[in-house]
Amino acid sequence: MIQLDRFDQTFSRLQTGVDAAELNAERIDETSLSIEGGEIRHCKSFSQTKLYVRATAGRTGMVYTEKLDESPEELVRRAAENARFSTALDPEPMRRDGSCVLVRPHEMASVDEMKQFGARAEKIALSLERVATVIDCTVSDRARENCVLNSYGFHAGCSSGYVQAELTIAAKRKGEPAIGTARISGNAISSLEAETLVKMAVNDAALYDGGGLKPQAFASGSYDAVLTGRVMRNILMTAWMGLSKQNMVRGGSVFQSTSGERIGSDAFNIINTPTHSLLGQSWQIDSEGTECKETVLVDHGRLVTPLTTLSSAKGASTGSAGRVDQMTGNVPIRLTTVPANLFIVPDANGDARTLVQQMGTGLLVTYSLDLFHSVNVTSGEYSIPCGGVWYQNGEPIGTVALATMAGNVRDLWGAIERVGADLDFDEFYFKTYCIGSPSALVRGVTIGC
Amino acid sequence: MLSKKQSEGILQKALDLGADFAELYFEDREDISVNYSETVDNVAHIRLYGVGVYLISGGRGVYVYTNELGERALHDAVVRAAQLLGTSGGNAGVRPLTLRVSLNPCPVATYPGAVGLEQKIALLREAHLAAKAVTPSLRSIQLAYFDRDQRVTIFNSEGVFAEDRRVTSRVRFSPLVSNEAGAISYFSDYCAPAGFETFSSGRHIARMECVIRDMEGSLSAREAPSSRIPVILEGGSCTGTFFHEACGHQLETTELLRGGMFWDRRGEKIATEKVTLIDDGTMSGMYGSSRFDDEGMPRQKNVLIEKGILRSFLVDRLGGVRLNLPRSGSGRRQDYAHAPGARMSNTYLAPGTDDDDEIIRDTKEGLYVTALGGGTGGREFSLMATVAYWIKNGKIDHRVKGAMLLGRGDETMKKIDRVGKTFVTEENGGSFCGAESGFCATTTSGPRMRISEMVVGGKGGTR
Repeated sequence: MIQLDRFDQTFSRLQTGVDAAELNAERIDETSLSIEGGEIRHCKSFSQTKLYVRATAGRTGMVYTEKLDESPEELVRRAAENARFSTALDPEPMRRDGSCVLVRPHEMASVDEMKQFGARAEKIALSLERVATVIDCTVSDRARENCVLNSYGFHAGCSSGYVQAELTIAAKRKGEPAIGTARISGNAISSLEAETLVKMAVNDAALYDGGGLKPQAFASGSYDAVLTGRVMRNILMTAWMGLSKQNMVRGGSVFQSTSGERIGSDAFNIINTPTHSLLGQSWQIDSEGTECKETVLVDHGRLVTPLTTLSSAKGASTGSAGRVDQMTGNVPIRLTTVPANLFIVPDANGDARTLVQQMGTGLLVTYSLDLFHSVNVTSGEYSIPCGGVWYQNGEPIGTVALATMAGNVRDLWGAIERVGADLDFDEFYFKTYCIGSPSALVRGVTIGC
Repeated sequence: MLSKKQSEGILQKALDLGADFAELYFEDREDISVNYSETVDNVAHIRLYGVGVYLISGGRGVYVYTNELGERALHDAVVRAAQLLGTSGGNAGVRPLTLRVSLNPCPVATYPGAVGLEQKIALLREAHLAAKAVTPSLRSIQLAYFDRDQRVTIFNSEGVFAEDRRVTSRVRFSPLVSNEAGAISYFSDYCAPAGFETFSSGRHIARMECVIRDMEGSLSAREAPSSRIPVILEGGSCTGTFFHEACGHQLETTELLRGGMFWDRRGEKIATEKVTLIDDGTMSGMYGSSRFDDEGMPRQKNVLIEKGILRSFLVDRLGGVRLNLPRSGSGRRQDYAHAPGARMSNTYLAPGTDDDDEIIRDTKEGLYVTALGGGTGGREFSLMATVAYWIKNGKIDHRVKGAMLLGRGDETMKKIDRVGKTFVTEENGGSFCGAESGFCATTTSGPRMRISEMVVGGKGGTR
């Protein structure tokens, strides 16, 4: 539990010259096991408390500390001192109303339960004729407590947790093995099924190279393509930043902030939500204490609302304030727009195979590389290394590697004819949000090879 | 932080509970960050403070970390770690903790704490003014200043007691350039493993100006065609980054344990004779250098490939135990919240014997890349060219944009047919590399080189 009393006391009697102060505290407890041969091969376990303090003295300054015995008064003093140097016109807004405490029950898994689940998944996988080896089997349990407390008397808190299992297998081939990866998560380990995890990983490997087809040469050009959910998620893992109001205002997004702007086809819908039935991850309140509610961002291809913070929304935040900055090993301390569980809405039926039949002739893009450098959010331009399986009249005829998809995200989303029902999620590297997408049939993608 | 004696007690507890090896990694780190656009957006002070407990038994490892640093909390962490490891009793003894001494390759003249915030802000203000003077196409620029003062103390059951103080300074430029041809924005850093003296030469300004001009030039560049053509990589980070992504990660024990493509091919020819690839954590004043690695081992120079022959790997402690390989001083981590893993540091291609200018003159048609925006490694690698030119009849003909370089390391390295004489270090001082043990500072360097044929992806049709 995060001890808030001493901050409460400090905020009730702020130092002279300090107008307001706020604490955003986060505590994470996690255990992660990597299983090999039914035993724990490698394990990580931690308990970490992070304290972000901001203070307003005309303007806003910030401090972050992991040194838990630092006094709240000293933290506020340092933040206020940093505020003195800021020349921003307005102080950062802080919530004054909407206090809430949200608890999403989480049944923590014991180490034995996690080990047994991983061992079972490994055993099932290795019992299959198609599976050569299990490269990695990791089971993790994460509990998170987040709270925001400020000198206006505002207090918001949430606690949640999830169990997650990841499996990577190598499918048997004559030459190089095909790799398949799957991930499932839920509130409790009892909600996870090892058979489902293995099936997803095996299907992923089979999709990767069409079951072991030989390379197929083809000329660069414009082709119809089915992009698997993984490929769509890879693109969205960067492209979502175009839906940030902060970026739009700065001129750093290909999209404008005008509601109603067309950014995709009628089959293209995006929702941001704190929870999802396919996920154990939940993000109920953001780093400003705003409750995150399910929000339609894109409806039948038209922008409804961007993701906003208190500052970018001038008070009417969508609960999208987080602390994820560019990945550099620096502590992400600034309040930046982040999604919660953001996904492209699936159709009621169909998956990649169904879409391939509808496509007929074209490329099933099964993998892509380079998540963060290959999509430019400002221009919308992308150039993405990829590969997959070439289909002729619905039949797979060969694999494609070292190819490049290139174009503009607005055009790509605008050319989506249909999406599947096979929604799946990836977790962001820093475990601060999830991105989901089903497979998508896209007409006229520029592919070079 | 615990004293040496208290730490010894904790390590002994770990061995009593059955670990073969135990390590404590204490970190106390202070960062300052300043964000500046038209004015100072915000100033933040950051304090990282915690400890990592690493236990190894046989070929298995457990890593537990916390930012509760009392003796009781650490004792509980060790007990938990041993429970997770599944060990019970042991009778090994901790060797006497002896302070290790190693040369600091990155001395500091002016520590961050000795410089007031006013000076750091003035640095950004000056850079902002300089940026606006480069071109009217600059719509906006976000600047950030970061400095870091990190104190690390490592104790382990083999008697290692290592201390290191690592200081880095960095500015980040994120220009937004637009004109009638379009808009573009990406970030670039200038950094050094040093204090505020990093900025006294003004090279960071020159670097920023160059990046802005490059961005403006890309707006009117032609789209790169998809093709299989010779590619010349400029000396410096272009050449080094190629190797970083094409084979560097595949030579780290993490990837080797996952069935990496180069296990175990030591003694085999995996590149042309022109390729000698080195990773060296001792290089003076380089971003990837330090006194010790993050497992307390002095850094060393590792010859990975010698005249095309694979000679060695980058090895951390646990990877070395599992693969029966000697450690290479390459155990690195982002911070105490990450277990150490084998990682690159300063990776470079050794200079060759080919004339640098002749490499271009001798290329009838191809791509000449002078800046890369990042990439991905693996069985297939990719590199994004942010500044590239089309070569025609041995001369630079026109600028191209959107070129993505693709390949497989084990194939592409066998097509390196020219390696220049002039060694060039990474022009912006260094960058970050992300992998399982977090983001680590690295540099990539080398002479100009040519790959006789490489896959280039682009939107400009097929060549």
